[in-house]
Amino acid sequence: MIDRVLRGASRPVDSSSLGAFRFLLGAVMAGGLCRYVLQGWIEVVFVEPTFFFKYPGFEWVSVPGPLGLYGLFGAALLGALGVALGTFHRISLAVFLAAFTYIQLMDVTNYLNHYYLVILFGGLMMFMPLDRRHSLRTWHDPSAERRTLPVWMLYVLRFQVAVVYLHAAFAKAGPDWLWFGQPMNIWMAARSEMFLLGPILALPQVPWLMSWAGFLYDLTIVGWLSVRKTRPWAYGAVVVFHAFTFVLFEIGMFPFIMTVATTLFFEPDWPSRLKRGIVEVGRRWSDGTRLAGMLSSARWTGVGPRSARVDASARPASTASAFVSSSGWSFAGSGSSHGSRLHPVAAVALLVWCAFQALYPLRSHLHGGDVLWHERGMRWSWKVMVREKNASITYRVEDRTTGREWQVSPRRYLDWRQANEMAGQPDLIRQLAFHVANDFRERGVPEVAVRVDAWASLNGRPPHRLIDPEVDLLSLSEAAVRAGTWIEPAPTGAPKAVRTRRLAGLP
Amino acid sequence: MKIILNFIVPHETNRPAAAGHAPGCRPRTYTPEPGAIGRSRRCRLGIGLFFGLVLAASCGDDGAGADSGNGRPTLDRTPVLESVADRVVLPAIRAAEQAFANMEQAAVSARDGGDRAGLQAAWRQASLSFQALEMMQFGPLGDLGGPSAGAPRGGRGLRDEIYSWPVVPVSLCAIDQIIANDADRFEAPDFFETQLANVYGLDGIEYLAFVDTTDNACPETADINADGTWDGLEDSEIGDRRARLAAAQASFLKARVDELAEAWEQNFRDDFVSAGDGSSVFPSGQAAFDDVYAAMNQLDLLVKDDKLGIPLGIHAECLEATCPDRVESRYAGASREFIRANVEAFRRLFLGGQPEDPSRHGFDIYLRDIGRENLANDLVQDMDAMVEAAQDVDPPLPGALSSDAETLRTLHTAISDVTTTLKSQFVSVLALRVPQEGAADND
Repeated sequence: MIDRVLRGASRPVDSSSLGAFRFLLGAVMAGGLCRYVLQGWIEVVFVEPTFFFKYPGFEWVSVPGPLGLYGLFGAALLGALGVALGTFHRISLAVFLAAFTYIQLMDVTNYLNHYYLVILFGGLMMFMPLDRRHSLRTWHDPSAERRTLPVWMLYVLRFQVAVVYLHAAFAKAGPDWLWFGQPMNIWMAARSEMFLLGPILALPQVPWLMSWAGFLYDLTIVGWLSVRKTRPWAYGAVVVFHAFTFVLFEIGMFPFIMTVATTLFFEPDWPSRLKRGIVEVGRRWSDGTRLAGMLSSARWTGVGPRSARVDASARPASTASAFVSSSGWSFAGSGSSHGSRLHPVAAVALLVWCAFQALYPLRSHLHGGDVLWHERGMRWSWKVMVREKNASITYRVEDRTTGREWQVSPRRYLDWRQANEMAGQPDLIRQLAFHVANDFRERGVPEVAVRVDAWASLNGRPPHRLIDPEVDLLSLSEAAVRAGTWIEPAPTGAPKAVRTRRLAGLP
Repeated sequence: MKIILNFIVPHETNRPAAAGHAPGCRPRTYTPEPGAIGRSRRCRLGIGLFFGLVLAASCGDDGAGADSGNGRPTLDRTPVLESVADRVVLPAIRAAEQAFANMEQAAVSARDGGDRAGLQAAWRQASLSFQALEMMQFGPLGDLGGPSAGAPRGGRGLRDEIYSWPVVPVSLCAIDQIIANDADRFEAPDFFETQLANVYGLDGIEYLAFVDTTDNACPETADINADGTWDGLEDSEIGDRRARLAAAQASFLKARVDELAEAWEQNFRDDFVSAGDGSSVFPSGQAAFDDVYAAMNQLDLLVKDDKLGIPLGIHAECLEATCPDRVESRYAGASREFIRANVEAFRRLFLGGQPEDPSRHGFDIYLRDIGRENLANDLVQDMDAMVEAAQDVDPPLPGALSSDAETLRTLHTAISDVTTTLKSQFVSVLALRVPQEGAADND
């Protein structure tokens, strides 16, 4: 049984879609990095601020000077271009991953789920020779081309996409999102002036419908993409959904990344067929054949996927085996592709990876309460665009010697963007408290206690205390931090959205 | 679309294709299997049901975008923007225009031998008029750079040209150095354009109009003291030069206020109220709301923190018991009136006019229109308490720091109540974006 599974995982599959995924992801990331630089965000996000929030365990990550920053972004860009072009694949990917991950680790307030996804994709791709198809390498050296790769590579990338969508759906499965249509209600009201869409978005029931549509989309899209018959419509939905999110929200590269990532669910040989189709169209066009005739031509569509897949897999029994036996990249053992099997250690590693990806985002349930409120287990969990949360934060610093108390605004240390991002996140509020204390020590007040008046509004609710105002954030034990007792319980009332409530049948 | 579909889904090679057509591409003459009709109907039914729901939703009598029952359409930001522009900002600018013209006239009169008290009175009026505009730092008053730099749209940096306290407080020594060294230059038309903002502005004129000594504010080691330049000036000459510099600054400031008025009246007002509807500055009314909200934050940063919190020793910038030297308007002693002007102007900005104005259409009305009566009522109530607390402050600062600290603390708390709600629920409910938020993506 295990042997069958391991052999099945090594079954060769056309490498065309994997090569295309590598190219598209690299291109999207290169574009995203260029956009970041051209918008002047390096200065705003990394040069101008004087304080940066650290990830636990990564306190050693420091923000370099402007020259270093541009070098870092330049390295990430070069790496992304290398990945896209498929040249010096392993080095390019390593450079991209190192630089891009470092950039993400420099300040927690820059955390984005989709950049985490890119890092995960990059980590997986380190073990996949995706430069063996549709790359500069194979263009220069056709003998390097591998027309098939082990199927586990495709499946694990698909799994990663599925994890994102399913956990994004689980994150939406709460009363605010599904019952009260919040925060969609707030967001759509703010976008009621949009050209054409605005009047529709302003309709009171539309946010509620959109909430459900978003939830059902996230919950089911992987299934629809996996079934051949529904795939065209599902991918159409992917494009429409992400186009919507791109237009409605400042969501950056996320729509592009997911539109690219979902191509993994296409038939593995789709780029080859696309290429052949374009060549055929071009040839017929140059022959003077009418376009309409070509589009409906049985002869043209005859270069269909099944024959293509046969083409792809028939030839490569030998190429696949060549890959398997010669490549140090693959987890596959030696021997021909049909006879090879995934190395058990690699299989265990893959299983551990998948189990971690499936379970780790659920850790917020261990803490109880509302993760959107206490934010414990919020990051790395695909809780994408699920809350509208803003808070007013004022630190109260007490001189333990004299009892004198001062108020400190986070804006003293942070810029607008950072202050806004950190205000709803208790761990960042606590982290800044230590910086405030250090500042006071440097100014001659060595013994201080730092408390905070933190009032947050979640999904439009009235302001509610986020953190116990009596707790000294500096003297919390690790156990207390883990237990989260310093965070006040979430507000219990429903988010007020009269029109949505009426649709939901509430008074 | 067909081309795309062909590559996403492989054709069913085992399905018989109609002659002359691609497998899977159903021509009009294709005879469907019996089950296909059912599927097609169900599909149409589903689509119909969805659009029916949307249609039903759009016909609801409580619809956002429909009449809210008081004759005003909801989710229309234009009335708020019109009210803010025409009932709050433009009247404040016109008042400032007049007050700054009077101040220029009074400064010229003082320079020509007239009464310095006239200049002092005119300065108070001009400063009070500008204190109202302090709460309205969006558009031309705002910084240059646009939203990605944390600045409002259409910013021309005029605020700091007119009054740069407390970010760039005036340097009294630098002014005295100009008095001593540049007397033959400072009346040139472009003199202040070549100077840093710390030598001119309302606080610069305050010093020149109210200082009651002929000493200078520089240390002994400064050039004008070390080389005897200042000591070489007669007291009357110092007075004359100060009056001349005050007049020059008053003319420069009046020109800036005129520029502000011109910018608002010629273009910005129309761009502001037509936000999202042909405006060349604001892509949407929401963007205009964002900028007004950013300006509202001056109540927190400028009034609560800088004007009250620091002098009172509440804020960390003051580690002493109190910091009277951080009080605004130390020479004229007008800080109390300034704070009153600030909080009243803030309330006008929020209400879109004077509270008693029946035609105003402020954020409170907008909030009620979108079903947020409680939030609107809370904010209005807190603002009234804030304005009342400001009226209670007596005597003027800095004296009140010691003699009436409790009243000042009450005012500080009252302002906190407003800004807490503003920064949490208000910004959430309206999905407002803080400055610089555009310098990042969401997800």
